[in-house]
Amino acid sequence: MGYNLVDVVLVEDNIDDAELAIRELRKHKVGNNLLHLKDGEEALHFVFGTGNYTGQRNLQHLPKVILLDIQMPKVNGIEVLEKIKADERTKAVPVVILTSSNQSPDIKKCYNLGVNSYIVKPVDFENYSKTIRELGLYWLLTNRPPE
Amino acid sequence: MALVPEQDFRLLFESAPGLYLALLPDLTIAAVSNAYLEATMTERKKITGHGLFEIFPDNPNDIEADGVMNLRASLNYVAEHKHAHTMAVQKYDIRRPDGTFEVRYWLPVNTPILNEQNELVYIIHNVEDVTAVQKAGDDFRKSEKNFQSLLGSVKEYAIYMLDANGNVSTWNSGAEAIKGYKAEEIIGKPMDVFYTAGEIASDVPRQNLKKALQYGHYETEGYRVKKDGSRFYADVAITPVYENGQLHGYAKITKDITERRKSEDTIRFMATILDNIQDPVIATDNNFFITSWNEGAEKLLEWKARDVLGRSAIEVLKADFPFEKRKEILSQFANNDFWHGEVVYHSKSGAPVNALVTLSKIKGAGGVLKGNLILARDITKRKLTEEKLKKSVDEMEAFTYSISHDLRAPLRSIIGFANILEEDYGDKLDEEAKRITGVIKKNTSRMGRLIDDLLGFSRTGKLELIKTSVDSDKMVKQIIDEVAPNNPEEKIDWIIHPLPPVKADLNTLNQVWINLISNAVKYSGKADKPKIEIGSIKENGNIAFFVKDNGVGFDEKYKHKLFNVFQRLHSNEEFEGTGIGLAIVDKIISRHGGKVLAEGEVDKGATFYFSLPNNN
Repeated sequence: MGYNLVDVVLVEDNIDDAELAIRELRKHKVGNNLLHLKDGEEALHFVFGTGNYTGQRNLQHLPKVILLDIQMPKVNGIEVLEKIKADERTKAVPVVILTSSNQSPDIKKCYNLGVNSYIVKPVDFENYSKTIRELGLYWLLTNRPPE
Repeated sequence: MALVPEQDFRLLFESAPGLYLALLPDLTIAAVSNAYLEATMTERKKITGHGLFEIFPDNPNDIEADGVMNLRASLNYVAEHKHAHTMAVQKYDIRRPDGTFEVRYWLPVNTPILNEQNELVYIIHNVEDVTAVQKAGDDFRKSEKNFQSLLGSVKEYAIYMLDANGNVSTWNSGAEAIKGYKAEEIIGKPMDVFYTAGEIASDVPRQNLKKALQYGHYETEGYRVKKDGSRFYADVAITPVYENGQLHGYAKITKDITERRKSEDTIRFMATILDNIQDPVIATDNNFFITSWNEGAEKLLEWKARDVLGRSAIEVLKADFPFEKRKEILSQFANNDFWHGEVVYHSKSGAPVNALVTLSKIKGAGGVLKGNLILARDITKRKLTEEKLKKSVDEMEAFTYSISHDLRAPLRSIIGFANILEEDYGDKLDEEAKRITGVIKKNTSRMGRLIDDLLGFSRTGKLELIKTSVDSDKMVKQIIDEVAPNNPEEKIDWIIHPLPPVKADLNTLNQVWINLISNAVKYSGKADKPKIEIGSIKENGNIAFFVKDNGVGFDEKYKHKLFNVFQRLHSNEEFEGTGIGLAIVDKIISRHGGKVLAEGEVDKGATFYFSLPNNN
């Protein structure tokens, strides 16, 4: 899969959560062009075509949505959000925070930085699956992304 | 031989220094001494040869004048008995030359002069002018009369006399007011009636008189008895009175000091309390200059009373708040005569002292402002404890947050992957493998519920209670619809009595009702005819509600466990549950200041009560 074809980026350090999410999305045929990244640093390299992604990314082709966890090693989700939204080339990309944190300072900060949606991961499996499914369907099928 | 020539006898009589009249038996004035003429403002030639009473009539302006009558009687006596007669002092006013009368008192002595045949020939009428003496006596009597009426009118003091034997001999209106006896009831009675039986038995009444004799004056305090048998606390002074060296009696002055003693007792009592109070109690005048500083203040603020009396409280206490705050406090204090709040003072050494302070105004009789009272309580330790507590609450919050997410997340994966196993490999699993997958999922779900309930319990302790008026009827009906929507009316027999509205926190009280009603539904679910009764009891202004079912009940010997976290009296197979519901009920109700109570009997049912205080 070419990196320019990626339409969903899932940045999640918990591989089990990630696997369950990917399964749910694929089950509903919205996760075919999905890229799973395990920390914020890698996410930034991907988005801006740096690091391992140098020369492999055309910044004209942006994903339809980036699902971003907050608590991650190295660079956390809020820093990633801040950099994406601060850059003219990337700020139009829809970013959805998908996190365990329901602390209000985090929520407010993310909205101030321009987050497109803020989702607290439901703790039980049923609701988690449902939320992921609805998220995928909405951002990939319902929502019209910027060209 | 005659030393005095006969013609000189007239001269001798007329010049004698005494006041003499020589009267003929028919009371005609025969001779008069010069001194007499002078004293009576008369002239010899105008009175000699005239009748005595023609010259000296009674003062016609004095209706009580009896001088003529008395003198005539005395002269008649002398003429008849031929004895001298000394009259009592007579008021016999003298006519001035201008016809007016002058008040005079006389001490007359009438002496018969007899001839050799023992016949009355003259009466010598000698008088002494005692007007000055008599006037002094009159003044004295007048002032004594005044004094008596003064004594009589004194109401605050019982002033009376005892005779030498200790019997009451005089009585004033103060005595009547204080002791309740009228003069006619008590005069002549022994003074013992004023004493208590115990004192009479110990001979105290006589001893007191003896002490008065011994010391000349004796003062004492003690209970005395009134006519109606009630007692009063008396301040008593006894003074022996002597007349001509003989004991005449005792003057007694008694004052009822019951009220004074009460207020003295109160003052002593208050002073003792004040000094034993551990908290600072500081009084100031209206300008906040310190007038009183107790031991509590000495201990906490390190200043000795002698160092701060008269100084400005503001300057001594060095309260740590900004100018605006001080202004706000003073304006509130001025409006309400009261202020209560936390303040940081500084002790003598400059150490900060957290104090909970009550400022109030000291008012005297008629509401006159006498100053201010500062009551302070040292809450430095409490503040420290509060800070520690807040820290541990914060830690607890972080901990519960971590439980809810970090412990919950792995559960999500366990169930998720068990699902994957079922969905993707279902055809490869035999029945036993499928049962085992089911057990994994069931237990994982249960653990999830336990964590959720535990979080709920921990949140219950932290939620801020906002008390409003709660419509209990409406709340209970809504909950019944929610928790038992699938129970057709005929399955559960609901008996809902009218429930009074209460003041409580809406959300947590709702949780209480949910937990109790859903418990009742759950535990009566296996009864043939489930019956649930909900009602209330009013007692001493408190309201207690109850939820009663006819379900499995419980053994009373385990009832102390009912309200504890994770304590269950039934297995999970019998009745699903985590053992948190009643613990949450208990916590919510105790935070409202109420109590919970359970009654039950195995297979007969259970009743749960909860009370909410101060619901009039």
